[in-house]
Amino acid sequence: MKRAYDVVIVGSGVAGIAAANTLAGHGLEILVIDENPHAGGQILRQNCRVTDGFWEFDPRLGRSGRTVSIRKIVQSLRPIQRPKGITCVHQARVLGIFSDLQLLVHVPDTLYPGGSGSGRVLEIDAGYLLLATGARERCLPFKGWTLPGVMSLGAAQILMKSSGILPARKTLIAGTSPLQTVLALEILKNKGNVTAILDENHLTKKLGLLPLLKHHGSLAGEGAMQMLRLLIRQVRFRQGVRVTEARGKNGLSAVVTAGLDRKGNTVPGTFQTYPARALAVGHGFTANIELPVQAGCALDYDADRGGWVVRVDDALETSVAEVYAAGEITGIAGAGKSFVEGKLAAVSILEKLGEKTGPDVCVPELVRMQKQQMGYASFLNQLCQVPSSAYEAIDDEVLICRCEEISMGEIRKQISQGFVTGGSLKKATRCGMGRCQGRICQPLLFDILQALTGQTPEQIGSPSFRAPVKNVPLESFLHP
Amino acid sequence: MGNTDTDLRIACANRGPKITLQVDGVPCVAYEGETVHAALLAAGIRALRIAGKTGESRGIFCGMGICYECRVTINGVPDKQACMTIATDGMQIETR
Ligand SMILES: Cc1cc2nc3c(=O)[nH]c(=O)nc-3n(C[C@H](O)[C@H](O)[C@H](O)COP(=O)(O)OP(=O)(O)OC[C@H]3O[C@@H](n4cnc5c(N)ncnc54)[C@H](O)[C@@H]3O)c2cc1C
Repeated sequence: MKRAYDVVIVGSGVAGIAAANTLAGHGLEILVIDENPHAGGQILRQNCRVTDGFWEFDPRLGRSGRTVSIRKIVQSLRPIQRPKGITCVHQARVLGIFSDLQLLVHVPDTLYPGGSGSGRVLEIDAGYLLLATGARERCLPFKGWTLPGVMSLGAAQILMKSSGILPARKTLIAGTSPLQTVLALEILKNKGNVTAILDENHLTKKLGLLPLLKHHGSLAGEGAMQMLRLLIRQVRFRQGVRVTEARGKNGLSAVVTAGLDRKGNTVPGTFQTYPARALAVGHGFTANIELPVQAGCALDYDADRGGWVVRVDDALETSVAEVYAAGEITGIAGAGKSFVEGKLAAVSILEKLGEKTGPDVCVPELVRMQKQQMGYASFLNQLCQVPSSAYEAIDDEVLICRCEEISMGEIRKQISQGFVTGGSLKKATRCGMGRCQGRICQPLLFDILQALTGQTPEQIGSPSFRAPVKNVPLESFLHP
Repeated sequence: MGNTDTDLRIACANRGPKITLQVDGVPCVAYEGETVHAALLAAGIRALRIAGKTGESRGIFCGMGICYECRVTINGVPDKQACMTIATDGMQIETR
């Protein structure tokens, strides 16, 4: 690993891979950094023995004049030895970005054997920087959501995809996310059982959102096919129910649900209890904006794009010169948009460098596809969105900040005392000051503030983050 | 419903060679390539640490390096994220 690269890409998900593929072959030194053990991001998640290399998209993908479906994207990927010019470091974390695009990167001991076991922090210079840090899941808190056995939908998927291990013999699935059906099918494929899918969304809400899919026939079709396959497998499917409590002593043993009315309020007397050792639950996604925020990139708030996202121009350059952003961090829309934006950002960087792009890149076509993917973003994010009444209804005893163990009651108290901006509420409660640095509770706190105070996103304020954006042991800074 | 989950390993999954971890001093079978959090779950261990204030158990939540709930001590180094660490033969893991 060198100390300076022409282009540094943070994240090797669909966006980062598409960008690296497009940048390769132009004589540039490219560094891809990812904290996961393998390339692929959230969608590929390879078991480490399968490949130690990188991925390449079929170069014809995105040239066809047709929408790129997620299935096509995944199918067209093929494992490769790293193309010339691309260095890929894994289990490495970018902790901060400073002036002149100097990066602070935590790398594992495997790169520098004989270390303390804590890794080391290096400074790396980038000519251009592409942020492709992806998204994480959101979860509406309920009593007992901190119990071992309660996990995100993605966590259950990852157990199977990366390690070949089921979350439990029987898994209960809940929330508002389209990952519910994806997960259920994956569990069945792996000979596990699904106790039930408890979807918070009523059928009427889903039907009402269908017009947003008018340019995404293939996605709508895929969704319908998934439902059909679950029906055939006789998976119990309930709509308009929410998990209200997870019970158990040192781990989950039962889940309590309540029925919801059309507005999303729980209906008294509709409680039901399910035995469960694993509950996978999720309420959509939020962009991983910590690093761009630390770097000084401006944000926009757009509920249809999943909340706070990185502001970019048509070339996908952020408000910080020479820093580009692609994929979920500019708006949650799934793999199709990440693929298109990864390519577009790479093209913009190549143009700045005076390089000509190859014949397999058609910019107007990519721009058209990017715009089209935004329709899917609206569908996805509206589908996942929880009504504000759900935040108002959270019991006082429910923990909101899992790290600092701050309850909803404490948050209500401080809001009523006048701490009504994201920043002041964080200081008053310590909510978001723990190990995860607010990655789980900050989006929640924002939604709670919106629900309880009725303020605009700008009044509540965008989140702020300082370096190091992920915590690393102090020893990793102390090397010669 | 039983108290533990046995056989969470998916039969058709492509597995590496068998390895042994030491979890709180007890030998525990795993396979090369598995992450620590998954190997522990397959061994029936859901509670990975105790939260300081409330004293509650915590386990896997995000599974992708975001939430820091699955912190364990690995080979004497505290606060390692089990979900971001690949299990290796002879690894010493302490929960709580
Ligand atoms: C848990 C989860 C499960 C999902 N499952 C599916 C699915 O089954 N099907 C589907 O179609 N879509 C799924 N999605 C949606 C997914 O976000 C998109 O499909 C697509 O993969 C996004 O690509 P991306 O490149 O924008 O981001 P990602 O694939 O998220 O890639 C971002 C990468 O950046 C890395 N990273 C972030 N910050 C840093 C840092 N500071 N330092 C180093 N590395 C960093 C991450 O480790 C990650 O590998 C899922 C999303 C999540 C969050």
